[in-house]
Amino acid sequence: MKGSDIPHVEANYVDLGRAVGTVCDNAHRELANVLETLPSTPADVAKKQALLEVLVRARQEFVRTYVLTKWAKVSEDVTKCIDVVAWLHGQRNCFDNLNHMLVGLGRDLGAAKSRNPDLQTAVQVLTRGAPTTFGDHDMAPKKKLKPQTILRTLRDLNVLLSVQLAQSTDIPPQFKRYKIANGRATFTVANAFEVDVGIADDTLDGPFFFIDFRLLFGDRKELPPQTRGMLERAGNSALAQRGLSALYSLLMKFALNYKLALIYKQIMEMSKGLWSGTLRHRFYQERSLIALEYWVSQHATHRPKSTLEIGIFSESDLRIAVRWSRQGEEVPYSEHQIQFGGESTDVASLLEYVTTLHLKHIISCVYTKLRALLGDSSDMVSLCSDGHKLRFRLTSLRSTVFTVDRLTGKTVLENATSLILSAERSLNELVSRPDQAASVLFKLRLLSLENDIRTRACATGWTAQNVTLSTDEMKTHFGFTTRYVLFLRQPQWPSNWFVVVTVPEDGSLPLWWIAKLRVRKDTAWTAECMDRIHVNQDLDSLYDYELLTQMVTFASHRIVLHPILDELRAAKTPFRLLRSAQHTPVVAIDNSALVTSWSHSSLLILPEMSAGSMDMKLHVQGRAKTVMNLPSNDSIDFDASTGIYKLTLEGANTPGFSLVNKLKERLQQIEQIVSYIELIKDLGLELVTASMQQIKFKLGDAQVSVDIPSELNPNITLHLSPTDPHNIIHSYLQETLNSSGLRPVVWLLQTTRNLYTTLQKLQKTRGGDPEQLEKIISNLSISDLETRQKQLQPRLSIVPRSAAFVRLVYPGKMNIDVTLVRHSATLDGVKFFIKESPLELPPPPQPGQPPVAVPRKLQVWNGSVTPDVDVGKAVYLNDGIACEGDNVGKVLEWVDKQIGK
Amino acid sequence: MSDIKVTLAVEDRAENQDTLSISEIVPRIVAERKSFVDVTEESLLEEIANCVADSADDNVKDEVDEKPDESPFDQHRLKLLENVKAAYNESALALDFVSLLISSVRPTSASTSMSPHLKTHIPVGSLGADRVPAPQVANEPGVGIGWKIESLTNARDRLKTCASRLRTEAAKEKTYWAGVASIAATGEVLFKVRNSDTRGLGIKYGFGDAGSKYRDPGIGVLKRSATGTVDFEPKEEVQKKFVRVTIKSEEGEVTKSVSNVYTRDSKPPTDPTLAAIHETRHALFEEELFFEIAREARLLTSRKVTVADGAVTVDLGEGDMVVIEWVEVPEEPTTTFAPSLANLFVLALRLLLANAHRQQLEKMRTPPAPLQSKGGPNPNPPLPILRPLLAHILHKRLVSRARRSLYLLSTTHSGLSFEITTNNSTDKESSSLGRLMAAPVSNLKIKFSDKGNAKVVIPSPLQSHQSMFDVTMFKGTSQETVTSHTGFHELVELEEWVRWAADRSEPKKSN
Repeated sequence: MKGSDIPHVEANYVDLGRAVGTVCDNAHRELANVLETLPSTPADVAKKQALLEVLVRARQEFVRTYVLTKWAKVSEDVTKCIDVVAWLHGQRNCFDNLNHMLVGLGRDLGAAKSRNPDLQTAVQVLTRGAPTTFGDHDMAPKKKLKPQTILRTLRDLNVLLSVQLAQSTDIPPQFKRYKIANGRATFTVANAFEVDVGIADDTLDGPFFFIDFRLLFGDRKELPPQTRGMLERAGNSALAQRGLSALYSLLMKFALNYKLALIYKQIMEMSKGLWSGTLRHRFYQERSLIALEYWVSQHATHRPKSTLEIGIFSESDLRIAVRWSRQGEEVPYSEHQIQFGGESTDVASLLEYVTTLHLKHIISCVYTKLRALLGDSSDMVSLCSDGHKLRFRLTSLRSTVFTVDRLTGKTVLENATSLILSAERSLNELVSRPDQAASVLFKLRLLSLENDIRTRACATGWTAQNVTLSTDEMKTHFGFTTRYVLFLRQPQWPSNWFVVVTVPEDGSLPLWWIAKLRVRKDTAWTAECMDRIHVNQDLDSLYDYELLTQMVTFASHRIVLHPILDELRAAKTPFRLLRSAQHTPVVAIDNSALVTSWSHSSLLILPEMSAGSMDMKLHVQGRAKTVMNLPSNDSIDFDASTGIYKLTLEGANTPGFSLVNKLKERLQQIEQIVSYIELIKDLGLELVTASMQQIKFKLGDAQVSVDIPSELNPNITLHLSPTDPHNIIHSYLQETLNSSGLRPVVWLLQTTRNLYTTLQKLQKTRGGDPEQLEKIISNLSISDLETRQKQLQPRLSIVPRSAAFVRLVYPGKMNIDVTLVRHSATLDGVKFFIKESPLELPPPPQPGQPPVAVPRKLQVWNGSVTPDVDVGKAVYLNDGIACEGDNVGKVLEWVDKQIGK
Repeated sequence: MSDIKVTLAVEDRAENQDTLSISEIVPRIVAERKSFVDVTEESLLEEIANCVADSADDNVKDEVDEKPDESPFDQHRLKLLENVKAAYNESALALDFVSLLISSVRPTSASTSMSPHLKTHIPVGSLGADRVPAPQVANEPGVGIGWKIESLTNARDRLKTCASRLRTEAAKEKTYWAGVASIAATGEVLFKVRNSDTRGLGIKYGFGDAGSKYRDPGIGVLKRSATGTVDFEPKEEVQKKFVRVTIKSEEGEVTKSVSNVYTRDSKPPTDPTLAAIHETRHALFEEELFFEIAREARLLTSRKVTVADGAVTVDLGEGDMVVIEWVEVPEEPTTTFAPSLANLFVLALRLLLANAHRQQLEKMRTPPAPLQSKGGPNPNPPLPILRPLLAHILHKRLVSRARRSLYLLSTTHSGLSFEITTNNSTDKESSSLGRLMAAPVSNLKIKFSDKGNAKVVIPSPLQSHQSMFDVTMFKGTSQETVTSHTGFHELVELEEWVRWAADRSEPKKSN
């Protein structure tokens, strides 16, 4: 639909030409104006600026004129556009006017407005003649309610409440216990709070409202009014929104947090008092959590913490619970069963309980571990009855009690010694207590054992010395399990000898060793020899004084014996060392290399030392194969009944002492004696005495003794009794003895007995007694001696030339030679040849000529003279007589008689 | 108009409380009784019983007041309406007048409140007004004087009250400062306190200046009470407790002696403030004593000293125990000092704490040791209170045990003889504590016939670096040639050794 045309606007139209003209005129006038006024402007810049402004303005004008001229080409359209714009302006003015008119209308109508009629009051006024209840809009004070009314209301409320609560479905289980009285329902949550709730409505589903709240723990003081008001507001809003269960959770949270705050206060008090320094605590209020760390220690800072977390852990289960973390690991409830936060809120007793449990845990852990470590000797450790202490036997006399101080968590070892205290220190610095404590205690036991041995050893005169052995040495000598080594020595010992006590780590009994050490270049020592000492011991007698005293003897012996054993080893003599600390050491030697068959091969060597010095005697004990009745003396001791012989070697500790040589010497001596004795027995002689020095035996009527070579007297010597006829040939006999031994001597003595007896007799009768002669000579003066020389000169001299050859010299008459010849082929091959030997030897025969027979002076040799006495069997040999040993005396007497004629 | 009662006061209404609903009553109960909390059935019943007597009169009055109004309603209503109308008319006329008057100045705004009737009949702005010069008011000097007098009177009253208040204040200040002066005269240390929360006069009643390093420095504030007397308030609450020592025997079964003395003034000062200060100081001393003992006891745990159940228990061995507790001060303190063992014990403890204070003071006076980069000793080591006492007690017990067992040994070994001497040399410097301050040492000489003799040094049992029995054995009768030297920790060990040594020096004839 086409509307009416836009009205055409004709007003205010100006011709283009006029407009352009005006613009030009204007521009010209302005320019002229400027040009006129410029000279009055003082500053050059200002002049320029004024001119520029005029020009800019003129340019703008001309630009507009230019635009107009352009528009003039499309004047139709522009005219239309102007019409449209003019019309639109008109329209807008209409709306503006309308608006203004409406505002004015509203304002004008104000006077016509009338008040809202108070109908209610109007009705009251109409019906009663005066307004009643609500007329005052609660501005006027009301009359007080009568107590009777209130009482009745309360009773009504009681009924209403019981009905409502009975019907209610959202009562939380904690609110099941309630009491209705005084127009309110009182809900009681044990150990937490009591809340009074009322209703303000007689509808059965009306909202409850909060009346009162009481805490059922702590000092039960009235809450501060601010807190109470806040609680009431929060309670009412919770009741209005979500009912009783919301109220419960609100109040329970409040009560529990209040309780936590009280608990925290207790903790603060505690940490100021007796528990100071042992607790670390923090209260995370936003999380309703108290973190309480107990047994805080300055020493073991790396040890996992033991904490109690007291707080509310679950939104659904509102109660204070305790989470216990024992050294970093949480303990399940089933184990600790802590009841806290309900009836009991005493933190001190909670801590007591927890620390007791913790203590028991530690003790039982250590107990188990220690038993496992101790193995067989697990009876060393025992639990005290309440499980709070661990009694641990360290040594036979000493024991310690392991426990943990419940206040500080410090490990405590009772019966403090410096050693135990240092163990206590290291126990307190442990990171993980039960795991490592057992091994520390075990180590303590070893150390105590070592220390006890050291103490007792020192008490008996030993000195302990610090010696460092390299680990390799330790391993090679004592095995892998030995860590604790004690080096003991006696002051009089050579400086490199020690008795070593090792305490094995496996808990077995200590071992005893004797060691010779040597200092190396550095301070370390190295063992030259290390020998086990077998000790008959149990734990109690392990280190009693008896043992330690015996050990001195044993070890001293052993030290002195050591070079001897070395020598034996070097000499490759098989030997065995019989060791026992309770006795002196005994060396058993196989002496087969030293002695021949007469003795049993084993030889025991028992050392004996004088107390306090290193002088040592060696007692050697052997057993002869045959029982000999050798008399005992100080150097050798024969047991006649058993054949055991004992001999003693002295000076065994002097340097250069050689057991083998000495033994060889002494054994040879014995052997000699034994062989002599055997010989004597063989020969059927009667042994008078026998000793290591001498053998005395009976030879016929005479006694003969032989000195056995020894250290003092290295030669074997023959002793004859002074009256023995053999004295003449003593030196020859000695020579024989030296060269050929006793047997030929005895043989000679036996064989020549007759001869020398006769010779002695002859000398007595002829030559007088030499003793008598001596006496005479000694009584004479020198002059007398000369005068009596002739008279004194013996008529017979006996000149032995050897044991088997004797010359009888009849001075000036003749010489008779007696020779003993032995023919071994014949049974009685012993012959004596008695013959005359010429006084002067014939000149040596010329070669090729027969020797000239020497004329004999006696006529007896050829048998021409028959003996007047029975001389027994004799063979006449022209120049002599051969006879037997039995009758040689008689023959000689007869010959002597013949010479005497 | 006089028969219509128009009043702003609330008319007495015959409110029927019985008909009110619960939802109406409950808020009113809350409003009346401030809170529902205190409204109980019992209290209401009581109230009703109390009210019974008064209620009769009230009821009569109520009856009188509550007479029903008999006047006809319509009549009243018409009269009321007439009056209202007349009033309305009057006010409309007044409005018109004022509007017309204003319309000469502000025609548009005035015209809005003019009645249409006026507008149509009278042109706007037709009424003019002009200021009539006010007549000269006569100067009334009486009024001015009246005002002045009233103001002066007011000022005087105010000054009077100020003066009287100042006087009382001054009196209070005087009593306060007199009190402070009397306290200062007794030698108490007073100082200014300028904390954010407290300002005033502080008092050092504790032992900080005497060398104590206890956590509670013993600082209090002297406040002025409402009556002007000096009120003493310790900064930290000090419990009125004291240290009690109980000596028990037979494993704690039999109580031998209980201490009943504690630090207090023999003649308490008459001034209550001073008495309170003294009392608090003594309580602080007792508290410090107990906690220092407890702190020290932790060091002695391996010596059978335990801290449990709020008490320090010292096991002296052989069933004897000492229990140190911190207990409430009895209501009626004993006045006489009985020289019982426990009393003497606790006295020694107190002397030792005082002595420890003095030592610390001396230490504080000496220049400090150079700082160490790390470690270093505990800056606050426990004070020696229990240790000196225990050392002497245990030492004495040990020596007597040693004497007993050696005597028994000497009866069986004829060559054995012994002699014990305890080092009693007291240092004159610390004569008040006698030999307590010196570590106990005893020397024991044992003779084994002529063959040897031994010297045994028995040091303090609480030290740990040395053996309990330091034994040196000499040859012969002189002390020249040492044959052995060792240390034992237990009496049993010493006994065993002596037996062995005696046996060795004199072998039994039977063997």
